[in-house]
Amino acid sequence: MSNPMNKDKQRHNMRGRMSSIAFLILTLGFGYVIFCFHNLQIKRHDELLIKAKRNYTSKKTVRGQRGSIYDRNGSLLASNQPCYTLFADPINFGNDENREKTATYLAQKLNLNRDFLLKKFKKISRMVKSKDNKMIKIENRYASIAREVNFEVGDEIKQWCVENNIGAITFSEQTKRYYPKNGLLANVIGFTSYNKGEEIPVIGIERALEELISATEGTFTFERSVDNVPLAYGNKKLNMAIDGIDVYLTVDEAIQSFVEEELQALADKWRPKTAYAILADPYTGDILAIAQRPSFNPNDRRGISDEQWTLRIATDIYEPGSTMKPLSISGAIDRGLVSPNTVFDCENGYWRDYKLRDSSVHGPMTVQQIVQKSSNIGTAKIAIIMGKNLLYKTLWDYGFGQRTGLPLKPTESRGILPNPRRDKYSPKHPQEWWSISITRIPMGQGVAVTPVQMVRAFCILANGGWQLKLNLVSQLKQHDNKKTLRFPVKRGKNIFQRKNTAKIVRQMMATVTEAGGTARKARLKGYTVAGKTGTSQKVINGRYSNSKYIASFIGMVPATNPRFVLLVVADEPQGAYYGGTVAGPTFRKISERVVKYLNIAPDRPEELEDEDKAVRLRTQGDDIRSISPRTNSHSRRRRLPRSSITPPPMR
Amino acid sequence: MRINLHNSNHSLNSKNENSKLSAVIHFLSRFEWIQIFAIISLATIGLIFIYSTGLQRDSDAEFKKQIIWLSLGFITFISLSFFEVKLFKYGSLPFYLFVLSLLIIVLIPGIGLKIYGARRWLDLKIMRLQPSELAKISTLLMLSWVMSLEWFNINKFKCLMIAGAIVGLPFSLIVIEPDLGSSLVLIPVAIFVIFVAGYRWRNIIIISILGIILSLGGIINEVYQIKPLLKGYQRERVAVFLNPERDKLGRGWNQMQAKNAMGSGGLTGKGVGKGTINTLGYLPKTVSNNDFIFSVIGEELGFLGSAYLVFMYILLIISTIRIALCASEPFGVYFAIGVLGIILIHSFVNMGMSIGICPVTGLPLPLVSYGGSFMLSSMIMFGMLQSIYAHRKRD
Repeated sequence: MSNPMNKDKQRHNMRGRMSSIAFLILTLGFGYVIFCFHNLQIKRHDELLIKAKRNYTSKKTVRGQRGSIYDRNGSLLASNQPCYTLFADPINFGNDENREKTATYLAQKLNLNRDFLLKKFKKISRMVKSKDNKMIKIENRYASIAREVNFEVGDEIKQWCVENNIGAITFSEQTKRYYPKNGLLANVIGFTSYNKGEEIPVIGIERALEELISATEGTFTFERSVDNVPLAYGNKKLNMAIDGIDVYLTVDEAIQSFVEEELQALADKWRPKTAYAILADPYTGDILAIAQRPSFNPNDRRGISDEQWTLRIATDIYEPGSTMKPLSISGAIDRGLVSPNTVFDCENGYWRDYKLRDSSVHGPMTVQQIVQKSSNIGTAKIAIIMGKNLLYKTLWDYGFGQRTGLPLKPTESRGILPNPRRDKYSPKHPQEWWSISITRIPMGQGVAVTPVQMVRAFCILANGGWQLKLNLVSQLKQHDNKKTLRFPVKRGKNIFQRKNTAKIVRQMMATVTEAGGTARKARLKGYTVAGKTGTSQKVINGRYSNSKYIASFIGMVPATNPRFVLLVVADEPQGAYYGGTVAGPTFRKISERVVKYLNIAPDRPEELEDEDKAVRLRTQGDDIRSISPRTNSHSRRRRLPRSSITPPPMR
Repeated sequence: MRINLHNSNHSLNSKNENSKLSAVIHFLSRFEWIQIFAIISLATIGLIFIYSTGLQRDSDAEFKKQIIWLSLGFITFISLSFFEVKLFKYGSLPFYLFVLSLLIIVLIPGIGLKIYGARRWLDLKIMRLQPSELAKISTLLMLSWVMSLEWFNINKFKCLMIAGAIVGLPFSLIVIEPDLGSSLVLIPVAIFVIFVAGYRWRNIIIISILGIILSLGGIINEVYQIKPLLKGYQRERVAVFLNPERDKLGRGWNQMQAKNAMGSGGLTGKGVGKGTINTLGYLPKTVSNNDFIFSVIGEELGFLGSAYLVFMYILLIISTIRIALCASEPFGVYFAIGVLGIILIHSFVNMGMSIGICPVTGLPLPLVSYGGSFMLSSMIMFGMLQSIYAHRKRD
């Protein structure tokens, strides 16, 4: 052992053994390790990457904001308000004492039923159907408490939960639809409701323009740390959630509020079943105000009735009555069949041939007087001269029987304009004329119109005969990149053959509000008002009722150069039923405020002479700055620019 | 030429110059450069990834500490490389006894620091020392010294028992801590050294067969719970190792995340500091810079990075074998082989942990993982190897 030979041998042996160790380690050990790396990092890379990603990526659905609704000047009418949705994890309460405490507090804070809440909180398990169709009991970790809880209230509850060490309540931030002007334009804007957490538009613009206003849902994929914090530098994939488009209405908030106030006054005074008022720009067809009574407050819809929240202004049809007369007569004047001075015998109040009665007794009258006194017999005689085809064509050209194009839900009604091509009445085809139709239709009986159709017809008359569509939306704006879509006014065709037809008719209508007319109460100081009253009996069970009327007044101001058309309708007013009595004063009150607001130059300034001259001077000065007055009715070449309707900055 | 004037002055004495050059070459040839290259590579990678894992919690405290440890290690490394091998020999017994006493002290409650349920650390106020790391060197030193003594013949049963006792004492003390991972390192080290010392093949075969039977018996014992020796947490570790899904969110978590991290690295990795599993905290910060640092490297540098790391360990091992082959006396051979064993076990087990072929034992990756004690003891070992290499027999 100790001899050098042995030592050398041992040495040699050691070398051999070391080499073998080295060989084994390097080839087997590390070879295997490298093989494993290859296997893991190259071959299984995709699989493991996905696995890892699943671990640290989260997916969240994000909803964009629903578009807001503004008036024509950008005043906010409907938008979204952040709020909390509260729900609880019944198991997390720990003990019943906590449940009771929380239920009591929340019931008091959110005005809820305490016992109902407590019952929810105590339900810690529920039955579900398993895959093999057996009912199994699982933990119940969800109990809804309240939705649309204001931030202030929600934060107080949060604070309380922290103080009382209750971690079972979850606050989820959401938005709710909010209408900052409350009842203003409520019926037209409509409202949204919730169904399974989704915002569902119910009625009005909200529903009609749902595709534009509603936001798209996007997914947000992000990398997060183990404690669920999204990474600032991680890979993010935002499948764009697009905000809804903002809608700018043609409605002017100020005018709308005048109209709403005055219509409310009318509703209070005459207690009609429903009342409508629409104010429109006759050149562009923009609706500046549109109101309905009864109405509601969209922010607090508890206990409202169907009458309140439904939108009927474009769907309800009524017999327009005498307001139809100037439209019918305009056809006869346009063809030169009659002139304002043509005289007709008004049969002293009763025309036996057609069983037609006037409300007052008249002998021979000129066409102008027929309009002024609203003679049924005179109108019928003119219509007979016109013949049914011309009468039908005239009314069709005014747009009766056709939609006005308002984006409203429920979709507006077409109204009923009977077709004269068939003479026989049959219940299958109610839209046919029968023998006395020629005398009834021109005075607004046997036709049904919607309030908006009536306004459009008078807009055509006001702008000199140019057909148009009514607008409720002035522009659409994309929320983020501010792309704006405006709607150019399309010029329709002119329905008149003679250039001055519209002017003549308006002059005749102007006498309605003068001495001897039916609507002297609609007279406006300083301005000529071309208008027409309408008083129609309602059809109840197929007969004209003697007690239920629709009173309306439609007119344009000023008559010489109309700036707006205003319709006021009261359905079943109590106490009086003449259009001039019920709707006329409301027309005047609204007009008074609107002419001031729009700075419309008085066309009869001499009436205002006794008033403060300074006021008038200022008015004229403003007028020169804002628009040049139109001189004749054929003003289509100088169509009113949109901006001219917006008020001057200082009022 | 003018520029070289100064040099040419020197070259006048070209003979002198030559001898100077050869002195430099001689000096440089003292060092085993392959080893130094591998050490610097690995330590640099380690620093980078300790920094990278520090990003997880916005802290570079570990990084700075590691730099201090590394500097300390390098100083030790360089100074040890100039030591005579004799000194190690003579110092091995006192060092061995010193470390043994430390291993005993660390077990005394109140002195030994208890972290994660194990009493492994000595709190020296400025740093925490893990005596089990020192025990690896001291045991190896002691073993190498005793075995290199004239009278020692490994094939004598008495001698084998002595070797067994040298390893067994610290082994059992470390097992008590408990730190099974560190203690298990001692066994392959001892086996390597005994094997290289020329243990008879016949006995090797007998022992191997015995070992296989014993381990089979042990496995059966553990599986059927006849008289379990492993503690609950150890059993669970093994069970979870065999099936990480068993405890997805608990003990299996790290292993699964490590595997995911490695796999998601792909060929080239996600880039330093961009490893999602690391930076997002899916690998807990307590393990991502030591036990599982390799999976972070695998994730951030990909297959190429991990292969590079393996290559560095191969270099380190080749250089160690080279040192062993040219050592001038058996002490050096045994010591080098022992060091080889330590590096091998550590690197293999640590990498194996990350790819799911080894159970989670908590062995650090040599020169890379965060941790002062092991860094220092590695540098001590490499320094001694350098000294052995410097005093090699030159053919």
